[in-house]
Amino acid sequence: MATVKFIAKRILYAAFGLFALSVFMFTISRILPGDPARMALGPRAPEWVVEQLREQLHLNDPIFKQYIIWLRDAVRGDFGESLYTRRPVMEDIKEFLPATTQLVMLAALIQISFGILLGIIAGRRRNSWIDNVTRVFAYIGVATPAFAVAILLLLLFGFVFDLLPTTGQLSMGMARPPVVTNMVLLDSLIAGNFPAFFDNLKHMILPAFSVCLAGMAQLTRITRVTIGENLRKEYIFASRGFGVPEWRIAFKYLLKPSLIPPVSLLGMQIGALFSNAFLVELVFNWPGFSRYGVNVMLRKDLNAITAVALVMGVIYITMNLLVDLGVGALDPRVRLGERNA
Amino acid sequence: MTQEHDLLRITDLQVDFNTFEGCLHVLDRVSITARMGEKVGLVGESGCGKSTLGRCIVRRVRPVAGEIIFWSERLNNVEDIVSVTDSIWKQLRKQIQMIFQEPGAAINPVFTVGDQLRAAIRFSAPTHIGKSQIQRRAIELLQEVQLSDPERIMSSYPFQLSGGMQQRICIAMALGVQPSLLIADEPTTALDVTIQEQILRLFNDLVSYHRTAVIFITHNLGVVREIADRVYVMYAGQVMESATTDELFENPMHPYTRGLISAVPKLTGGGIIEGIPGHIPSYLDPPTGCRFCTRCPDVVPKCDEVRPPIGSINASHEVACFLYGGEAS
Repeated sequence: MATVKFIAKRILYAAFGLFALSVFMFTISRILPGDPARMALGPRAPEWVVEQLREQLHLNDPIFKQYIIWLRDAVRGDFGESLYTRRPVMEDIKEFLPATTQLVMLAALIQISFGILLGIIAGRRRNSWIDNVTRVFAYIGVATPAFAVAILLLLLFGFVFDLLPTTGQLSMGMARPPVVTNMVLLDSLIAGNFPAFFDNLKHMILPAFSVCLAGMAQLTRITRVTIGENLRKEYIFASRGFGVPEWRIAFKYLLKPSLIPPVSLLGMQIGALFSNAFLVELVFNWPGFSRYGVNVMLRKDLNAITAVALVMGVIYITMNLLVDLGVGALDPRVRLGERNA
Repeated sequence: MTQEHDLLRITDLQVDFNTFEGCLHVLDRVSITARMGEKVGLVGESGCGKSTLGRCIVRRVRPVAGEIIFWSERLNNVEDIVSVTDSIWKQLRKQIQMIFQEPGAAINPVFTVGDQLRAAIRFSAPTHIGKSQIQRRAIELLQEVQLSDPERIMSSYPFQLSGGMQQRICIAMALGVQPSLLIADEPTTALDVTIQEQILRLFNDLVSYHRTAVIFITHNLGVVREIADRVYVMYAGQVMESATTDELFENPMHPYTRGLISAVPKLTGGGIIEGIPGHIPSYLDPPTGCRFCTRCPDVVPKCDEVRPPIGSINASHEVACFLYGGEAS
């Protein structure tokens, strides 16, 4: 019962977060100085044409009504027209978001699996050579900005060793598989086009590592600390005393309590993954959403900016909801509510 | 030979901790024994090394000298004498269970009580036992420690239970393994006084019933008197005196023991009780002789130079003090 209540509560929080975000984004887009209709039509358009567009965009209605109309459209996926490309913002999102999604998903996968694995190894063998190696790696990873990592990797693996491709999603001459999800990786898999699949994967290695290196380093460090701490806890000692096999202790009694802090950290890192992607996509010329976001911001394309921020917000809030539920699944004190510690 | 019946025999155990400030000489030639089913009390102030001694037995702390013999197997590696192999230790390890001061410490916070209790039963059993049998045994154990509604307790997480209940569960888990030696490290200190009494009585009844040998580590003389058959009095990493419980309280011989006993507040006595003046010496550079010499009311000049030999007063009473003979050599 308490578990159901916990899940319901978290979903409610997430929904409220989304609502607040939409109000915020809408308000910003409307209170900024400048008349959107005039901005769209340019300074030379006659006043009656501008007035017509104003009416069409509901700009003469009270702001509350405007919000309702905007929200109704936004829920249907209609964020209006880009003031620059003159096509629906949703079309742009459909084109650019999948590339970033697959990049960030691969980055997250690398980050989680390597980060936690390295953390476990380092935590179990404190002060061994492998712990020292991961320590140095972690310091470098945390201290180096993602775009610097991107440029370094690009120079090193792209030019010095010439091992991996450095720009775009596919090699020259490689045909793009038919569009289904617009994620090249997934589309090539659906089409059964394995050369394209591996080619796309190869293109993703450098950007994905650049995006996730810092987060991976943080995750390694925190996992190492919690594993090391829990290893010395009396309850692990007691489990050994009961004769519980060592692998069972490692994967059950040690891992579960040790994963709570890293998983909580993950919620905070999702935002970092996307913001890292902003610059890394520029470096690797990756036709993604983050790069699109930077471009629309530079052009003050208001409708597009609102949509980009909102989509990012939806992703961030959804991921955080998942992380919250994950922490709840790991930690009964969170799930069932702590009465007395 | 009585030694043949010793379950645990520790001789001249020495433990040093290396810290940034230097080497701490935590235990100095400590010798204790525990026979099968015997309840041994280990008394001393906080920081006298009694917990460290307990940790040595379960190999959490490695001594630099001396030996620990359990079931006539060596548990520690000292110099060129090699201890038991890992596979034998794995078997022996279950024979020694520990109960800790912090009631929740031995229970994993993110698993249900039932999960851990069943694991204790399942993996300590010499042969494979079925699920229903494990469940039955788990309920039995919880009833043994007088927890009502065992099914509900089993599906609870530790944080949903009180300290007293958690400590009962720790006792249930430890006994579920059917150890031959139970090390209880201040198991009631962190509990309310009223709960302390209940847990203590329960603990005492259960270990007597199961004939489990106990090393009961405490700073509380009253508790020792209630539980132990025999008592070792420790001070600053040295054993000062050992005797059967009755003998010790009737006829305390070592100045430290006498001070300790007179420092217990009495209901009938008025006024603030007299403590022992002074502090425990630094472990960095303790006196080479008797470590109590800095606070002892009956100190003689050679005390801080020469360690007084352990002298037998009678078959069950030993004391390490120059007041009772033993010439400096």
